Amino acid sequence: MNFYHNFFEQAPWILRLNFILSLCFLFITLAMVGFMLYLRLHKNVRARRKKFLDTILIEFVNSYLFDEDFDKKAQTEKINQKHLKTDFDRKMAIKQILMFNENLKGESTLAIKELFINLNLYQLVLRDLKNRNWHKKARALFVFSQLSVEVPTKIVEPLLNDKKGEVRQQALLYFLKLSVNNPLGFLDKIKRPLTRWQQIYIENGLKYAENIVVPDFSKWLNHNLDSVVSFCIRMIAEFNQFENIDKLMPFIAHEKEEVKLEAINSLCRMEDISLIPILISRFDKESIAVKSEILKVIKSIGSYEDLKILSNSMNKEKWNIKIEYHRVACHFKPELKHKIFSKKVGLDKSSFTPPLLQSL
Amino acid sequence: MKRILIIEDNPMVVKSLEFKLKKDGYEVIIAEDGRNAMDKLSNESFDLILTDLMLPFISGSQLIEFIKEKSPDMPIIVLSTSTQEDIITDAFNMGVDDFITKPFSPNELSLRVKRTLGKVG
Amino acid sequence: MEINFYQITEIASWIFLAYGLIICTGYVFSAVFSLIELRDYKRRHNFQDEIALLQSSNLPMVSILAPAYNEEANVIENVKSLLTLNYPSYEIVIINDGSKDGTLNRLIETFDMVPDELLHYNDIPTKEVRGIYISKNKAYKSLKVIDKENGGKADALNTGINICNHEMICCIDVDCILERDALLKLIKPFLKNEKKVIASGGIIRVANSCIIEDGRIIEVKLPDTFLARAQILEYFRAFLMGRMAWSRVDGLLLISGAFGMFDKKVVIEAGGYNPETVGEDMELLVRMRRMMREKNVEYSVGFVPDPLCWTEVPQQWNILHRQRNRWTRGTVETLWEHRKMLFNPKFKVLGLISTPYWLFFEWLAPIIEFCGLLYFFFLLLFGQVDWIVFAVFFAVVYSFSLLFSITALFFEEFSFQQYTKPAYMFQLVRTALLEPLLYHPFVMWAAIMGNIDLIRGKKTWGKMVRTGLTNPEIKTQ
Repeated sequence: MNFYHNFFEQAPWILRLNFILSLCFLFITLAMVGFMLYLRLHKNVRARRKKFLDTILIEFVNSYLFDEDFDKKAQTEKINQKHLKTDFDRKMAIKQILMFNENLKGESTLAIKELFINLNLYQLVLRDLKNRNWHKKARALFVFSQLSVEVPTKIVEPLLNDKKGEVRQQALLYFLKLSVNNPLGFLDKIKRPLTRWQQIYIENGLKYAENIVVPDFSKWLNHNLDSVVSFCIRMIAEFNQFENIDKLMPFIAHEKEEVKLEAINSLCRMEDISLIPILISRFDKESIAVKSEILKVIKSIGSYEDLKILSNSMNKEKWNIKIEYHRVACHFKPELKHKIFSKKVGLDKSSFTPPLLQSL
Repeated sequence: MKRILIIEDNPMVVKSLEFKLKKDGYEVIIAEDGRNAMDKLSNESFDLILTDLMLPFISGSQLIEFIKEKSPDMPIIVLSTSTQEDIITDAFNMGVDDFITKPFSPNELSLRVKRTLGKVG
Repeated sequence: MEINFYQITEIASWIFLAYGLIICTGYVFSAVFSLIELRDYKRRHNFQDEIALLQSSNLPMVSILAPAYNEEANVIENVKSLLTLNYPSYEIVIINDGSKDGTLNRLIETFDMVPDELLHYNDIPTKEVRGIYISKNKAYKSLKVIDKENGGKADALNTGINICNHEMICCIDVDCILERDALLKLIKPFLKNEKKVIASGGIIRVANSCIIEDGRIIEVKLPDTFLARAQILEYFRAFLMGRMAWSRVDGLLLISGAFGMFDKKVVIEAGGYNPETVGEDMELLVRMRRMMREKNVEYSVGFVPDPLCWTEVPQQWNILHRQRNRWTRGTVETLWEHRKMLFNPKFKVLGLISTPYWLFFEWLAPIIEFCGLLYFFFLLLFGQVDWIVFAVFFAVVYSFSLLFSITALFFEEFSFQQYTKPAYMFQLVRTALLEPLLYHPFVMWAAIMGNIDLIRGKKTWGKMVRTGLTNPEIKTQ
């Protein structure tokens, strides 16, 4: 005691400060370790509760779905009263219901939805949807769209332009899933660009959702977001909407390179041969990326004759384009291969040995 | 009573299948992963195998090969999330009797099980 | 003399306090930022499945670039494991960097490979390519092997960049173990961001003592050696606290060479990896970021905290020494190369926070520490040590570093909890208690030696002999 007294009276301030700080640090460290232990314990308790609930819920849902003699009303009541007491319990119930919904189809789907309503889960999820936290909103939307449960449009619509990407994503998937006759109607309402990620999920939704009517993508070709235009151009090819080929043509002269490339690619996938002469006539004016795309088009739907038209342009081309040109040439005439590629070359920007371009 | 072995790692799917098939009057045995399934297949006999393709430890395709080697006439139904053509064709080429994609309709599944078992006799 | 000594202590106290305060603030900020970032990441990914991604034909195609130097022993197994990654379309490019053992032959034999055409365009100048091989077997159609003259890791990666086919490149160390959905997770930042993403990196985990079957982690175990366990803590601190926080403020300067994904066009535009530095991974990202900023293009760098890449860390002191020595040199070289960015407001976070942080803490901290130690020995020699002062200073430094490690451990517990056994946790706490005494001084010493080597090596800059890729190139920040 005397030591401490002396120390605090006499030691320079820096020592006293350090001493206090060390104690603080040690204290926080101990608290942290304690908190970690608590976290483990908490996780274990939850895991056990989850396991217990899962067994009960699975049993219950199975009986509900497949057992004709099951007293649905009374049993639902019982589960609600006896087991679903906290928000955590109800969250587990939602998880199980989603699991059933994901794995079963046909007549069970309706019963699952009915169960969702009867277990009073709708209110809970709706409350989350109105919550300020983005992750709760996003999750709620996910649940509703998975189960195809409708909520008032005026709540969901503003979320299409939410500042959090996840919320936007779930909002648009919700509209996609619930408006079967006009699944892409939401495109007219969005103001932020579609990310590649969202595009993939929209495409997936269109391909695998039940009873969905695939829309005519040309409706949005004049959308003011380039990402929407690119997406629709790609989808026209993906869903083989050959009737839109003419509408796509102007886009190969689009000012934005990414849109242009998308249009060329889509037309090529739909094997529209009329594309080739147009592309060849534009070749000299294009950027390297487009030039390389044009060569790819010729490779996949053109002929050696088409390629030869470009041979004059090649002399002034950069070497990366020349090499691609040669590759395509070899694709058509494999016998040229040894002539061109027998050389042991890797071409630098600075120095190169020209291969046999003229002889082609 | 006909014995059916279900090889599937999702407990919810397992329980649904078990519930439905027991109601249809079959004896149902469960293996929740590839290794466990391998044990059961080596030691017991079954009338039908219902298996997923993506399994822990040993994949469904390996299991199918193993079954077909041991008892070529054993009927097998695959239950899988895959919609990819090549995977489905591969499965049939290995001698699978039926391929059901998830999500599945339980009633349809029960019909297909009945049909597959009926075919064999 | 009396007054003089007092003055020195006073000044030293203030400096110590200022330095300590900055470190503490940095610590609090990085803890808070990474906590937020981890929480957001977990929230973002806890309910949606990735099946849609796998089924999509619109995912960018990825080229995996893996340089190999004398990897005969493991290369086959590693390639086999790479072949089973969960991703719709990717190619694997193994670059044999003039190995002196049978790496190339083993690859050619096992995968039934034949020479392919050699003509290609060198966007980045490299050492000579001796041959390119592809497989006759359809099952390995996504595999390509490049055989080239030895030129070091950077040169090997550049060759891969020149020759690979796809627009996204994923650079890895061939001896790393990737989780099956590593590519799927690493590509996400590129898909999700509205801004252009130029690169994304991930967390490196320590694979020592883990149970590995067929190139997969079957069970995560805590290593038996203290050295490896200390590095686990170090990696937690560096990745879960450090880089997570940097990623929150978009100030990431380093994506580990062991595991990172890049937009190939941007890499080529920036000039590829620099073979003249030993810290090529850091140098590349800094150069790419600098270029984007100078061009005034909005961009971002992604970071994924899931455990995706596992690697063996050195279990021998001398190998660890060599590794840390090299990291120090790499850091200094990069900072020197890009000294223009330091304190330059034009580069925003990078100029005002990231690069100064690297200068003061990554580079200077070991040196200051070393000076402190020298000073202590000096006092000891003249019998001037006030043991109470020493004890108090020691206590504060020790308790702080302990707190730092425990926080990082807490983050692991909070986020991914890979070390599931409770016993592991206690073992890690014990390691955290010992680490500042046994491990840290050694690492500091290696950094000092790195600086010394750098000064000595300056004269023979051009003739620096590269040792190749015998050690995994993972850096902690």
